[in-house]
Amino acid sequence: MNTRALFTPASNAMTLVRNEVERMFDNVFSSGNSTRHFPSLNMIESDNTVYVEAELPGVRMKDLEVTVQDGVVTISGRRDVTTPEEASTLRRERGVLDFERSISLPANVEVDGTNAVLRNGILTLELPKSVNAMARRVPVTQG
Amino acid sequence: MNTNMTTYSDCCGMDQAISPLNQDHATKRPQYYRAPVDVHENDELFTIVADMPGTTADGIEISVEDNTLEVRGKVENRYQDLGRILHQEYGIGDFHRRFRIGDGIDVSQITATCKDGILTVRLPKTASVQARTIEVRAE
Repeated sequence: MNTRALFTPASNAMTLVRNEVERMFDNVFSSGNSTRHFPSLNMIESDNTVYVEAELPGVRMKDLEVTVQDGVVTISGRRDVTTPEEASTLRRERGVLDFERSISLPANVEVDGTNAVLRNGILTLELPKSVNAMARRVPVTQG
Repeated sequence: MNTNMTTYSDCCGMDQAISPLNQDHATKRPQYYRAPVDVHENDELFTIVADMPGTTADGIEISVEDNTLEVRGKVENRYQDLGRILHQEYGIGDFHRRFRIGDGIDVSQITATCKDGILTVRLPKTASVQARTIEVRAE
C-alpha cells in the first residue's frame, strides 16, 4: 500500500490519477507465503486502450492463466527450470517461477474486450476503454 | 582476480572453463540489464540459458574475443509509440552479459537460438577436451 496516498492532499489532478493507479496495484489477494509481488507489472494507456504488461520469460501458454472477474484481473502460472539430460548445472540464476498476482482494473475499461498476448516472453493484456470513457468532443450550439 | 572464479571453484573444485563476468568496464552510466543465466555442462558442450524477455533472434549479438564471450540483446522501447505510462514497476532496456571462456571451447562451433525471450547458447568443447570412453579389450 502506498502510504503517501494517505497524506497527499487530493487537490492536484495528477495526484488523483496517480493515487488511483497505485490503489489498483495493491494486491487484491495476497498469494501464499511470498511477500514479493511477482510478476512486476507495467501499465500504459493509449487513446483507446489500457495495456498491462509483465515479463514472463519461458512461461508457456499452457502454464499461464489470465482471468478477469469483478473488475480484477489475475495473472497466474509457473515456469520450471531444468537441467539438460546428463548435464550438470554449474550456475543457476534463473529460478522456478510460481506466481499469482491480481490487480484491480481501471473503471473505464471494457472487461469483455480484454485481449492477452504472450510474445517473446512478454505478456501483454489489452483492455479497450469503454466507449463513454474516450474523449469526445461536444458540439456547442448557439442558443 | 575475478571473484566469480572463486564461486565456481567452490562449487566444482576445479578451474571452470566458463564463468560469467560480473564486473563490466567502468561505464559512465550502465544502461544495460543483466540477464539472469543458467550454465550447464555435459561431456560435449557448455550451455548458457539467459532470460531476455523482449528480444528476438535478429536483435541479439554474440561475439567472442580474447576468451571473452559477449552477449548483447537489443530491446526496443515498446512504450514509446504506445501511449502514456500509468504505472511502471520495471524498466526495459538492452541486455548485456559477458563470460570468460577457457581454451577448451571450440569457438568456431558456438551456436545460439532464441525463443520466447530466452537465449540458449551452445558452446561445444574442443575434441581433445571431450571425455572419451576407452574401450577395454580382453587379451
